[in-house]
Amino acid sequence: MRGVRAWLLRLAGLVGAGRSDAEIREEVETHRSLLAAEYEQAGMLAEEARRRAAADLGSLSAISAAYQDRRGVPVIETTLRHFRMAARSLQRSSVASVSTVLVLGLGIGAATAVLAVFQAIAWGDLTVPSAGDVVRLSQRFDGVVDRRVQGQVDRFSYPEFEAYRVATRTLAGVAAVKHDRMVWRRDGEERPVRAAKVTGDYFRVLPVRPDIGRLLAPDDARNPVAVISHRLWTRAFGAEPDVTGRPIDLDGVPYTVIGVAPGSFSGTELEATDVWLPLEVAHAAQGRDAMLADRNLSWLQVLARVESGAPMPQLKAEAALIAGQLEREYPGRRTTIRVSRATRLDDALRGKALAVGALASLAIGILFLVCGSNAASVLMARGTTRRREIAVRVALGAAPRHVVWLLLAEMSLIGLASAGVGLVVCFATLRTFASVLPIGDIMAGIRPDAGVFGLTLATASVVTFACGLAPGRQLLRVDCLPDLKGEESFVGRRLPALRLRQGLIALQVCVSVVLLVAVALLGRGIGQIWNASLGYATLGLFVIQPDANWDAATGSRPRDRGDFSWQLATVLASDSRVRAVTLVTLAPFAGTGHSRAAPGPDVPVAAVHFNDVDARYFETLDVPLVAGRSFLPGEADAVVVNSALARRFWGEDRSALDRLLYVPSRGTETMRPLRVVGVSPTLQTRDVGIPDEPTYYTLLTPRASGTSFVVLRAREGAPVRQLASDAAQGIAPGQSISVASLDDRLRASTGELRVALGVLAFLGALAVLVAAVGIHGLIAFTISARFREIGVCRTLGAAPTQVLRLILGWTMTGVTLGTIGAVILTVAASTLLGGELQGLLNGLSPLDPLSFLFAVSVLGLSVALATYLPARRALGIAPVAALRSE
Amino acid sequence: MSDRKGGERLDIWQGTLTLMVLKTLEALGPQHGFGLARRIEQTSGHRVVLNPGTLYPTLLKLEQEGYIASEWGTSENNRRARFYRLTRAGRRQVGREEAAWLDAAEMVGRFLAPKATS
Repeated sequence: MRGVRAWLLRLAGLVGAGRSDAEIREEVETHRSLLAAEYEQAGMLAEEARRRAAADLGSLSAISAAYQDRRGVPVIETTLRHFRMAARSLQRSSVASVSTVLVLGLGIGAATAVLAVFQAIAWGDLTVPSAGDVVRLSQRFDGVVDRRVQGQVDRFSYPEFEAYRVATRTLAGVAAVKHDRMVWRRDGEERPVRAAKVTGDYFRVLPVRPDIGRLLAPDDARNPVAVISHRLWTRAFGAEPDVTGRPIDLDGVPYTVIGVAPGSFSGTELEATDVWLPLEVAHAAQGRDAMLADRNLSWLQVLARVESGAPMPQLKAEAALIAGQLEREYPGRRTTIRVSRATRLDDALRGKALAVGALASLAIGILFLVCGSNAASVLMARGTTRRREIAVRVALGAAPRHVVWLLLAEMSLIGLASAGVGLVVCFATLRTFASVLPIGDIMAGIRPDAGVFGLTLATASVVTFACGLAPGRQLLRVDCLPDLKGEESFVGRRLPALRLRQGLIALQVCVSVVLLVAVALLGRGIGQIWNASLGYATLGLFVIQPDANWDAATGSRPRDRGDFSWQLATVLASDSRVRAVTLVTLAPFAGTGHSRAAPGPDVPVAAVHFNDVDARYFETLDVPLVAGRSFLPGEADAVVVNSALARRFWGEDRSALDRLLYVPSRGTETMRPLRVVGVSPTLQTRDVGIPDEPTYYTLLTPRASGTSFVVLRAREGAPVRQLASDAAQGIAPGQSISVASLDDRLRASTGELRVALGVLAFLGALAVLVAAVGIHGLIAFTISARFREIGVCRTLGAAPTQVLRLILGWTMTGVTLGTIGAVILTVAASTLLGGELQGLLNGLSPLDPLSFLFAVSVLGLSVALATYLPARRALGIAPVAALRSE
Repeated sequence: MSDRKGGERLDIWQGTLTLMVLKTLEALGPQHGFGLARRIEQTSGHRVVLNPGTLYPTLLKLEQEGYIASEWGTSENNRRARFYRLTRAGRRQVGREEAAWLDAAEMVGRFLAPKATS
């Protein structure tokens, strides 16, 4: 206890409480005078007595220092002293300090924000209680796979989901969910909403508490009811408390609102969910009961809650057992079940997000390199002019460790300030992301927490010390005499330092150019989408699909949508403003048909894609066949294959004609032969930039399919939406339809690329800004350090242009070297990753000269400006003032 | 603090000075630093010479621990001097430390003169 009291008093002594320095000195002085008086009494002369007393006591300041040490805590006092000195020293070179702090802060803040976002998106838990117990099930098929897919192949069919739900003993609840875009009609206005069609246990697996009313329960499977999100409630219903019981018309089906989900819960996918509906009732209403019965259709995501304490191996073993029972129906197929912690992204999407994330991390790494080298170069520039100061300290007896402590204190101050700037930048970046990126709702929910703050501080410290101590090491190798004379700023040692600075400028320019090239490439890559790289022109191409109009009150069945689509196609084809119309099972970018095929009866089958199209499909897409012809009416035993399939099975396009292709008969496992009558080019109908897999097209029989799309190519300026709507009303009054241009669909399909472009553009702009600030700071600092030298040059008759050339020369060597480095890096990257990059860039070459031109001009302009502004000051130096200056 | 005996310098046990200071203050009452140093030197038969660099930090430590208190007064040569006095806690501490030292001394004494004590 006494010890604690003593320490508290010592800590209070740090801030000046307790005995003052003057009192300590006075007490020691009294001691000496009493001793002298004693000697005097013993017979010494006064002067001698004083001398003797002083000799006995030794240095008064040493005694006072020992006394003062006991008053406070010496380690802390020394450290504080170092920090005070460091602050003064940083203040003396404020240009360098501020630009270092800004540069590091920008880099740290941006990087922290990007990391926080990717962490939250790809690995962040769902915002539900005990989120750690929620898992996502997915499946992988190997061997002989013939499966219909909506979305991704790793999803479940409804019967499979039911099998897990019923059979499981380790899961406390299993729920299936299908996310869809729906149209909400209200007072004649249409508004797109994001819907989650869920099974009864969904809110048992994700046990959130409703803000108003109640959530969906297992009993709601047959009730047309809906739970709306907090966001929809506040934005569209004006947060009215009596929202329950209100009707909400989605895709032509009236639902009744029964509750509002809490604001903290926005669903289980990246995009926020607006409304939750019972899966069974939503599908029955749209006439898609067949999907619920289809055992071999991948379409549902399955989430489950683990019994607390259930071991993972047991869970996996049980899942494998159920999967084993299910796959007995499909000989030759092997199913693997994956159980993973549920996050906002499923595995497939996480893969894509990680690709974007990897790109962003690379960019962040590069940005850090720019910031780090920038800070290092400014600190180093500052360091060369501080050699004299350090030499004075060493000459006055400062131990090297004190100099190191001083440098550490300076770095810590810079690190702390950078972390502060970083936090501000981080918040600003997150806010910008939230308003710019298409996943704004999720972004708006991301706040830098203690973890992010810790990360910022840790990164700030590491980066600062890394770039601060390298110059620090150089400072410690002080040779007092020449440094005291100030000889270092002249020819002898200047050259290596200058070369190092140019090297650092080159590094920054190099990474900035690489980033800018990446931004330009990605931007142009997205732009490529609007060119003809898909294999067909998208201009004037529209996709029309009838909505399910279902009367919940009478429970009447939906109209035969296949029949409606066929009639709609016929009516539209007769209009002179329409160039061509076709019916297809899968419109471009609407999904993928997975199948298998073989070039002969006894040849092993290969996994391929398929689509059912009518005879006018290729004409409507404006795609001339490479060989052969399209279907004739009623030609059910004919098949058109794409070039990829023809080349895979028969080597070249023409040799495919008149061959037999064996494909599975609809609904059975047996293979039937179809004659190849035509070969189409390999189009891009699934992913932009990625050619279709080997695909065969069979003839769509009119009125056979309930889920076909009408694809229409309109003449220029045709009011397609009005045309289609009028035609629909003519066929079936009251029937609503969805009309989307292919460009809209494409825009939706480039979401990830646009996120990547946004992030890269942001980082690129930041890199250029950082490089410009850094180069500006460096040049300004170099000019102020070489004020005298420039003055001498001007006195000796150097023209302003010569001085300007000298200063430009300091940066231009670095800029040239950096640009060359960037070209080498890009060429190397395109050689190593050519294929992947070209896919990402929609076929654009990574060595696109226009992108390079863009990058070099943006950077060149920024560097020129960053150099010119401080150089202008150098030109204004009056020779006499420079020569007088110290 | 050092202990001089026939020119030899010997280390003194940790804590000895604290007891010497407390005991001296108990015996003399309030005293300034110089007076304390002189008294300790005399009591030790001039075998202990106290350096002010050791004495004053020790006094400050005892004050921080609450065993002694100090106030400014006037010395015999009319100079301002800080006078130290025992607090109640200090008095109790003297008793405790004294007993502990006597115990220790008695225990060590048994080793040094085994016949006399057995």
